[in-house]
Amino acid sequence: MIDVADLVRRRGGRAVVDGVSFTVAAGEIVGLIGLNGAGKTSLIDCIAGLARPDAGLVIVAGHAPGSVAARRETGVLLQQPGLPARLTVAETLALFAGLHGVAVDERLAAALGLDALAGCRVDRLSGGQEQRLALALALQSGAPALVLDEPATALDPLMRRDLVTLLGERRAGGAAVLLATHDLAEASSLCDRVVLLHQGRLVAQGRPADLISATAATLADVVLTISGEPGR
Amino acid sequence: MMGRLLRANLLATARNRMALIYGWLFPLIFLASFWALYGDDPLPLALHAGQFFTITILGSAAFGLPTQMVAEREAGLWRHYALTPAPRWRFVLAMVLARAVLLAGALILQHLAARALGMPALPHPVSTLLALIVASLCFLCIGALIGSLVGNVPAVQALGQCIFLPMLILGGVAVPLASLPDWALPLSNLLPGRHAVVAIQTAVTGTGTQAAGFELAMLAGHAALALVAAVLLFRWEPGVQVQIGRRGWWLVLTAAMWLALAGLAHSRARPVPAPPDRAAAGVVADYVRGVGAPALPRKKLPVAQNHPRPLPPDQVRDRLQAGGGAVVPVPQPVPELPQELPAPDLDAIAFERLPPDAGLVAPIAAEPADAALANALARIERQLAQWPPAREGDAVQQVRNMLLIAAVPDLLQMDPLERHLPLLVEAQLQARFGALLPALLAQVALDPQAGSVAARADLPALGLPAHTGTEGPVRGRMMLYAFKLLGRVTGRRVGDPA
Repeated sequence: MIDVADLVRRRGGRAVVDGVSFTVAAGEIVGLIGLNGAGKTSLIDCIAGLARPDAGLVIVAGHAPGSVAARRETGVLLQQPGLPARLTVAETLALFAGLHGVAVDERLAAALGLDALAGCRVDRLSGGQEQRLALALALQSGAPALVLDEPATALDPLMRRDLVTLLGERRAGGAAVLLATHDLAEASSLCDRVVLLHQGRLVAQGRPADLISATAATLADVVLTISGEPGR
Repeated sequence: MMGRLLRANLLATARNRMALIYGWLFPLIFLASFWALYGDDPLPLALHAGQFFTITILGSAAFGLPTQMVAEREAGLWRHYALTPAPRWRFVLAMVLARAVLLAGALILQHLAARALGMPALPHPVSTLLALIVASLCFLCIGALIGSLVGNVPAVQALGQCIFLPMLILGGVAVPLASLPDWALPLSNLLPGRHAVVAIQTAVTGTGTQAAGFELAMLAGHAALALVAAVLLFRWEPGVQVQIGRRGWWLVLTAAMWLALAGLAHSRARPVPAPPDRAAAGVVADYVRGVGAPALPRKKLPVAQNHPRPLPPDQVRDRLQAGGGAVVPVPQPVPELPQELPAPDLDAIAFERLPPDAGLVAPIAAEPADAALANALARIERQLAQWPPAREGDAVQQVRNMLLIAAVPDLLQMDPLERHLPLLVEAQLQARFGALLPALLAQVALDPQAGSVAARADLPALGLPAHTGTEGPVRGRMMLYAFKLLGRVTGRRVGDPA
């Protein structure tokens, strides 16, 4: 569903993504992990069509990223999702549903606790409420490919639990989910596979359990070991 | 999809208190400035409506719209929109249309305030609406282009000023074109600001937008090209340079069409309009020989025995068609005529002292009307058949009312209509009064303070602006046209002396 091959993305002459290749199949959740500056967000920008790769190939649901067809097939949560500050939650959901050509998913909105916030203006939401709204916007299109950049940021433990349930349902429904996260526990429990980036390069990928048993006790140890900072 | 985008933009704009305050308050400040400068015009504010309406539109388009675009881009909203399957042109168009609604509110408020300050009712409301819509869309599309070009809010201010100020100064929007040096006039033809002023002004104090068809077409052309360029140069992301890429050839084509538009504007430039006419018409004694000479008729005689016969109506019509408007008088109910009319002493009238027909004061056309003008004249003539002041029972008062049709547009400098309306009035009066006309015209010319000029308020029914304020100026012009038509129908003075 999501195919990345030899992807290179440069910024200021430096490769922030350097020859990365991996795939996310339908019905699979793949975790994208790495330290700050590893290249996760740049990689997601390329997959979402917001940045043009300098080399390599990205195919999303059979389409080039950024094309109308690809945007129709992809639900994206950005790390800093710009939201229409002067609209209410309900108006924002309706607007983005309309842009995707779908109806507002009331059940999803309720699952994310947005039904109680329907009349609140976006610029008066807390950080966690904004994140729930952004998640709803990414998920409500029902796209078969989901690209989520740190979806659990600012969410409380209850909502994190609900998020895991929601993503599990999407996986069961056949969606391909690419999940960039710093929450290694979440990645261990939720992801079928993880892709580990360090300084723009793919340094390891596989099932979390395999990576842990091969190198360390926890996924955090894996990241630190591979990143060359085992004592940190 | 478009409806949702438009609704979202409207809601966001309506909830932006500062945008509403600046968008709706500043036009009233512009208006107050114009009122302070031109409040003593023959028609308060109406002669500058094209200017102050255009300034309101320009302000919203050059600053308001692009500032909103850039601010939303910097906040990441456009980046978020980029993830949806909606094409970019819909976002640009929705923003333009939403801003147009905000602008409509400002223009309505400005118009209401202008009416409160004495501006007469709009004689062509539909034409005015059309001109305002086309001008608004033109400048808003240019505003969208600014928003696409610049990367941050301070840059909007800089580029906005680069467009706003030349338009104000060189485009005839704030500085009257008559004040510009010769070298600047060709430049003004290239600026849509001038087209907007002409189109709106023609609707407010002219013959309606049909006479400004070229200007409206130019504005529509600018709007289309600016919108295309805005979409081609549109960026979702903040801090990213404009990427032309494969769109380069389309941009080249757009730029070439813009040059062609400028060339067309240059080739079809209108003459610079005259400033509002404040010249005094003079007094009766100025046009009567000998100081203190008796101006009024010396005795009451049957008209035909005392002076040359007036031209028969068919000859008047021939003359009009050869040298004036395509006017065919409509038969009207003959008013009650006095049994005996005092005959004027034509020798006592100094027709040679009247202002020249080719001049600024009380002009009369010597050339035929073009197609647009002929249409406007024909429309006025049709409406005249239903105009109550033209059915006035008193013959002298009816002549007075008819002369106002020429006098008021002359005061308002409604060129070229002002030069052709006297011919229409002459033909109508000939058809109505025939041989009695010279005596009736003399009554009005020699006693311009008599009777009523209240019919000046009814002129909008003919598609002409009403006249308000003191009666002196309009009575003066009425007198001049009475003298001039008297000269024409008696053969004493037809056209300017060689």
